[in-house]
Amino acid sequence: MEHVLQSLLEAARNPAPAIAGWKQASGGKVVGWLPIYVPEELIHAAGALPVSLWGGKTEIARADAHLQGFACSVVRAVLEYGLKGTYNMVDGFIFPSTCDHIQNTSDIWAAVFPDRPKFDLVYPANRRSSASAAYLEQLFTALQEWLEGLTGCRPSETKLRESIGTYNRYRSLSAELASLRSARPECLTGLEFALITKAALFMEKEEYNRRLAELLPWLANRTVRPQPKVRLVASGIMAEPEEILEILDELGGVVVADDLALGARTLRAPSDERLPPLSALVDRHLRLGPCSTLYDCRKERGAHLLGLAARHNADGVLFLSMKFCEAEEFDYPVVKAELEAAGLPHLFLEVEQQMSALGQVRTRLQAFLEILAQGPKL
Amino acid sequence: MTLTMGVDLGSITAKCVLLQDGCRVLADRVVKGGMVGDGAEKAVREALEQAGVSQTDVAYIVATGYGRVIFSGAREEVSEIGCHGKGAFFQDPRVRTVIDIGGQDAKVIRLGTGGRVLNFAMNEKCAAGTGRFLEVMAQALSAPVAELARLGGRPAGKVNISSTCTVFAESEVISHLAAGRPVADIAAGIHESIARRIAGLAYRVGLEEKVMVTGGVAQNEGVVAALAEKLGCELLVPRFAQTNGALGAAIFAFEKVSKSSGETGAADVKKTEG
Amino acid sequence: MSEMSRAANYLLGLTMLYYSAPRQADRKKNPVAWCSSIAPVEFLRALDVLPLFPENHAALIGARKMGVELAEAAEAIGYSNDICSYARADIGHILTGKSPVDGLARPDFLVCCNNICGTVVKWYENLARHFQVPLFLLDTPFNHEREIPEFSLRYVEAQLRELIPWLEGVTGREFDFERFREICLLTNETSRLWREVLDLAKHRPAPFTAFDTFNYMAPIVTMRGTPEALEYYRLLLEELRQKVNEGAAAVGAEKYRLLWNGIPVWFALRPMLQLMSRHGANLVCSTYTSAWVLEFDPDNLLGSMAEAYTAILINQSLGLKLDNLEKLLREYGLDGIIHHSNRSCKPYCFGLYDLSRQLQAGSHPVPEMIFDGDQTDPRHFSWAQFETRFQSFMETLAASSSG
Repeated sequence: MEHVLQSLLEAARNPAPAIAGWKQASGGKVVGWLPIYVPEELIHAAGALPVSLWGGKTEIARADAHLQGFACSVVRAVLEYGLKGTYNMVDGFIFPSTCDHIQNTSDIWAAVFPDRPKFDLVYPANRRSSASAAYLEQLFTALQEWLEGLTGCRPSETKLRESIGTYNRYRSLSAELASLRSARPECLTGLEFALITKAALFMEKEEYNRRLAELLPWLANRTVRPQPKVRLVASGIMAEPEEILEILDELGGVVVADDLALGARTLRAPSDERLPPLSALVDRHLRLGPCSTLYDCRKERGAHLLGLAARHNADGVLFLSMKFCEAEEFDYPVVKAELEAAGLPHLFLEVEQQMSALGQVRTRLQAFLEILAQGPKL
Repeated sequence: MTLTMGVDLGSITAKCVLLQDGCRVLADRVVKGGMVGDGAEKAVREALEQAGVSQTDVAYIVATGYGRVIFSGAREEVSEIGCHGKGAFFQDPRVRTVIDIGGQDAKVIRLGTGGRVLNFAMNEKCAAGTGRFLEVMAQALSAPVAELARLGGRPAGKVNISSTCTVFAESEVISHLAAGRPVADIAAGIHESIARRIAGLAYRVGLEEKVMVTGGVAQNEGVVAALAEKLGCELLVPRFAQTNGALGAAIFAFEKVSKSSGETGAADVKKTEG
Repeated sequence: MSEMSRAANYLLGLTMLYYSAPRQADRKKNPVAWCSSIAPVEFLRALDVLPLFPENHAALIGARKMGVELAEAAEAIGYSNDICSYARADIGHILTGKSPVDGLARPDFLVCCNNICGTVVKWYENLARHFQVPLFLLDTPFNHEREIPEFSLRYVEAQLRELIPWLEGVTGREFDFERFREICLLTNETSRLWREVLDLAKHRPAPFTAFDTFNYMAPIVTMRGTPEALEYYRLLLEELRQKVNEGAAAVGAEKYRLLWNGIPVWFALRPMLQLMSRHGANLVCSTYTSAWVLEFDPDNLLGSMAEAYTAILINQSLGLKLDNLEKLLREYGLDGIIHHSNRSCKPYCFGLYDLSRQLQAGSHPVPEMIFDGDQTDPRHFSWAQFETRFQSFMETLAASSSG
């Protein structure tokens, strides 16, 4: 079973060969999408392979000619990969209206690659209007038409229902993995968990589901490390670069639950399979959250983190703030005040995908774990 | 008699403290050459010479600082935060806030009763508010850092260095020079700029008196004075300001030894192995 | 300095009224709302709500050089130095009570429109949380195409319809559609005069500079839809026409006519004006000030409003931004462009490099200068760097006009 695990870790770390392999075997199209929310079901039903483009650790050189240094590391990396040809196997690109960074990078992308098919998924930021659902349905219909133009395939309703079922299964298996992490954190390292989660973003979901389903019973009896001394909730866009998790593993800190965009945020809210397919996807999007990038005038994130910490018996919160991500940076002071009022310790850690000197990160993590290991305040 | 040692391997200097029975400092050394070169070995050697003892007499060594992971001579490593908290509390148990300004990092540490670390904040990745910032500005003024402290002491006026970006601030310094502003005024502006940045960190964790300043920059009177003014409180500069982290590490080492031999009920020390 | 003109005097009075009226208001009759800078205030005016604009106030904080102090107050409670300095200045003012004008009166509710950025939505979430007051979000989807999609406009219009009962709910007052129509017509008329004011800079030499317009613009932003704002632009237009007739020049020997693309650097207006004047360069127009020219179709008010509020330039594609620049270059007879790469305003400056590249490849390339700065936070700006870049920009202009 070790080889199944290894295959997932490899898929997450080096997705290109598997994507190329899929493309060659199936003759299908590859559709890349930027963070955070995209109805992958529609891509899947159209017979294309949805692949996430969430940046990565790469040296930024070419992208600097198009984008200022105070753009977030994800869009800089995406642009860099595009410019150096890493995405050449991707046939179409979806830019959701997640934030000012992605929204404006979309226009830069169009200027740089005028001939590469692109779809702008401009979500309704106001999800409480009576017109939100109708708008969203039109948007998803437009996406379907774009996908049809790209793949030549207009999926039947049955096919759409199947895709929704596959994705619901993917989310429920992921939830099982997350439960296991909290119940038996000794069964896998923090880095392994993150990579298994990430592998899903590059693989055909049937295949991913198969492997994960195989893996779960084996993990339930696996032990790779001692019982954690300190249990944490991680919150933010993503726990990258992966060295952060390596350091955390090394220091004996364990993430037992998360509120990461590349993690629990996208895996919440199964689609309602009783609804017509497109309505089910619309309905799901309207129910997503809490998330820093989804308008929330009630600011529920702090309460959500406190709830997670209580349910998972966590000692503290790791707030992984993506540098230059306004959505996260505006949430932080509110979350900070709430965690402090509740007496739950947290560590604010600013992260960038391209960060290389992790000495300070280590110092902060270590000091935070030292504080938590002292036990509750006197 | 139990000898323990703390080694603080920073970005610019290596510091070593030799401690007797967890209470008496036998030697404290600061040596140029931090993570690169043999700074650590040299500091250890000099400390042993100063105390007239040999390495085999030392019961336990704890390392801290940026280079703690690569320093092979220690039994254990503890974060700088923990060590500075520990050292500051040892030097003055009234201390509730420690401001450590090192070469690459500036940190503000909040201590509770018994010297336990409650919270901390560190500078972001840029150099503003650190020793490095001071060095770059001193270069722009063609004056050694120590000279800068003296210069800033008696300014006629004070220029405003508003940029936090080191590159921008450097160009500000140069343009003030070009405009004929006295060097003393510019130096005062530089100290003020660092003080502003550090104060921001201090407000983030919450400031509680007594406040102690440690690290190499603690010896810069200009920065300390500007910081005291900005924070509106008295700042303690302890005897072992630059070696405070190493001192804390040596105390951790002592607690480790006495705990394992069951001598005292010293505070719990979390063991973290690289 | 010569004695104050009638328009300038009137503006001073308007400004004082704008800040003081909400402080003295009986909140039952005149509730106070905080609004994002290009929000549909016409609805609020129809219900006698007094709108206040934190962004406008933040600009003033910047101009009065209080930006660092107030931003630092926000940073002290955990706000990142990377986020919009307007937001940090505003939050710092809320925390400390410090302001150049005694601060903004506390809001009874908030209205936020994301046609300027997504950041403002996060800012208003936090304001709603802090003041514990209701917040209405008007979402105007970003337009990546040449034309705004029909279904976008329908969605925006639906939200405008929902704004009415929402406002009735929070104010406890009944909406009068006829009154609303009158106010919309006032906005139309005021916008038309504002456009005429800006257009006067097409004259050679220009009678004023864009720096002046950064001052002139306050009423169209904060008092749009009132007779007082209209009156101000009437007075202003009269005075400026007079100047044109007299052949008055804002910059002595107007050698170069420049465009400003971006939000002003509020704390450095004066030295920039002086520097430019020394080189005989006049900033005759900006992409910024024209954002408040809003016109509605009286026969289809809500539909046209949905379009007008969505079609704000920084809410639209790079292609449309380029078209606008090229149009301004032609209409104002411009020699060069200064682009503000503004750390605070991502939508305004992400894409600048490609915009510039496309402009150079287009039919009417002109010399350009891009500088790094910030609207309110001088910690992200270097005067020395700006000055050096400007000088070399002037050298380029001199070379291109002689060659």
